[in-house]
Amino acid sequence: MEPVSRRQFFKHAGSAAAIAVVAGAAASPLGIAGAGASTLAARDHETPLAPHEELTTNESLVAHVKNSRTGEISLFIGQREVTLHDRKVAARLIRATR
Amino acid sequence: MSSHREAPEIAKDPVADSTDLYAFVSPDKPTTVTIIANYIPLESPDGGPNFYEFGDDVLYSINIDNDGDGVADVTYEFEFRSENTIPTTFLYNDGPIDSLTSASWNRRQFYNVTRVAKRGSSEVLARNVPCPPCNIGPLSTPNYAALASAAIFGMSNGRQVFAGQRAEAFFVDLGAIFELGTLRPIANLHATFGLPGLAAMPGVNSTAAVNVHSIAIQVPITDIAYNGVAPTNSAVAKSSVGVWTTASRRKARVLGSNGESGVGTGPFVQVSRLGNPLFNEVLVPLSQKDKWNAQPPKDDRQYANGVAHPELASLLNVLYPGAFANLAAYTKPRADLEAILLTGIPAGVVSPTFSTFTGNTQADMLRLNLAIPPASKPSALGVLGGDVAGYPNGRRVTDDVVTIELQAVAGATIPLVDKTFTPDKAIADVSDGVTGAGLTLLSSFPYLGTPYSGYSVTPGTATTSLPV
Repeated sequence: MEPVSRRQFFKHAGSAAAIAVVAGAAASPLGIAGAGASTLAARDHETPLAPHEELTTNESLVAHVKNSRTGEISLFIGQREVTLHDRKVAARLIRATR
Repeated sequence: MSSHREAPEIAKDPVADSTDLYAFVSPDKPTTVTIIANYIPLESPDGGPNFYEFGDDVLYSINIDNDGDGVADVTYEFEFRSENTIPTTFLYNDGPIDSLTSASWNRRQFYNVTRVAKRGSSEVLARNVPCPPCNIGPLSTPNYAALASAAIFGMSNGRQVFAGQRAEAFFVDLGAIFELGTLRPIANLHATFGLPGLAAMPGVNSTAAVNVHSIAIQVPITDIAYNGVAPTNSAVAKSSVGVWTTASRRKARVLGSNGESGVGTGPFVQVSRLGNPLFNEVLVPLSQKDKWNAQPPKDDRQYANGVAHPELASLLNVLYPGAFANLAAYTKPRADLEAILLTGIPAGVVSPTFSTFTGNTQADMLRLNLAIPPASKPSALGVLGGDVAGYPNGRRVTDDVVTIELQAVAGATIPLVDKTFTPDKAIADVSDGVTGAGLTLLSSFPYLGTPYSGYSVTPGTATTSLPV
């Protein structure tokens, strides 16, 4: 597993909201079943992405919130696993399921 | 069994379940080594309409350590993909499959082979190699032997590969061994827990007339040897390599809906491995077996106590009261088993020139001395039978590993390291009573025999009603 800081994560992913964009494009890869996943961006009133924030890949990504209290999240993409520690992102993902 | 369904979780995942591993200097090409990794235990030959195949979502690996640290120096990776070519039929085939490109063959499988070196460099050795179909019957797969032979694929540097269904060559009396160790030939000596006694009788081969899926690769000795040089002195450690197989799955998987295929992401995680036959099966506690499957050999020191003090050895004199009194009184750590299974046997133990020793790192690997040539008259009992080209020096398809390991655990190999021990007389009878007699094998690569056909095998029996 590769540990990653919040700054690094956002640098790679564009923004936390960008995860939602990827999720919508790739059959609920966030692991959030049902309509909740597709409405994540809308609920959060996502602002449009700036050009530099646009992703150039449509690769599937799976996020596993291992511990919402500590914010430990495992991100699975390609053949990599990236570990993120961010309570805000974890909370945001959990809220999106409700 | 050797490693069929040996752990709770992998028993539910047959396409990733390593069942047997063979590694030997090729008898007909002694400058090469053949390694065969079997998967999918106990295939009933008539198991249609969806006959058996490798997992498209599994990474299969054959690993070779040539410097004794329990870490792979060379790995051959195999990845499969399946396709349907006739979208309108429910059948595996809608006519005779007379070639690997037959238009009657609906469900096909192909694979890539990649060689990965320790330094991280990798080389794709083959792409989109076709597997043969399963052996269905004389109408669907006529002249099966020729069909399968066409699936042997030559690669660069004299390497060749085959992946597909084969006849099971491992033989064992499962019904007896897992009936509280009731070896049928000596069942009359069993304690039977106060229940009515059992009569001695011949063993029953539980794996007769079933198939497996084999990944077989034949490579020059120099492809896997230390520093790429074929060794000539069998007494030195660098002449032996350690071999083990693994099967791995993606760490995350999201199932598809509405019939869509799922998505696997993340790194591959090892879910199955196999080095010495029966290691995980017999020496590792049930609660640890799935963890063992996920571990690398270099960390096997954590399982060394189960080798030094095997539970089965302590049970034998209980199950067969008085028959193994000498074994029961032997309380020292089993240095013989530690050598055979975890470090290899140093030179001087069996003979001055025989060794499978790879170093002091305790690792369950199938060790093969590359400097020992094939035997002209092989013994199924391998080194126990005076044949140093057989198990535990590698493993050939004819080696009776169940009897070898049962007798070793029962104390037959203790005198190799401790001359004060006298084996119990009962050791000569320690066997499940099953031999490889009747197995039809090939004299050349891939050596394992033509699989039994679904039409020809009488279900629920070990007999075939027609030629396979």
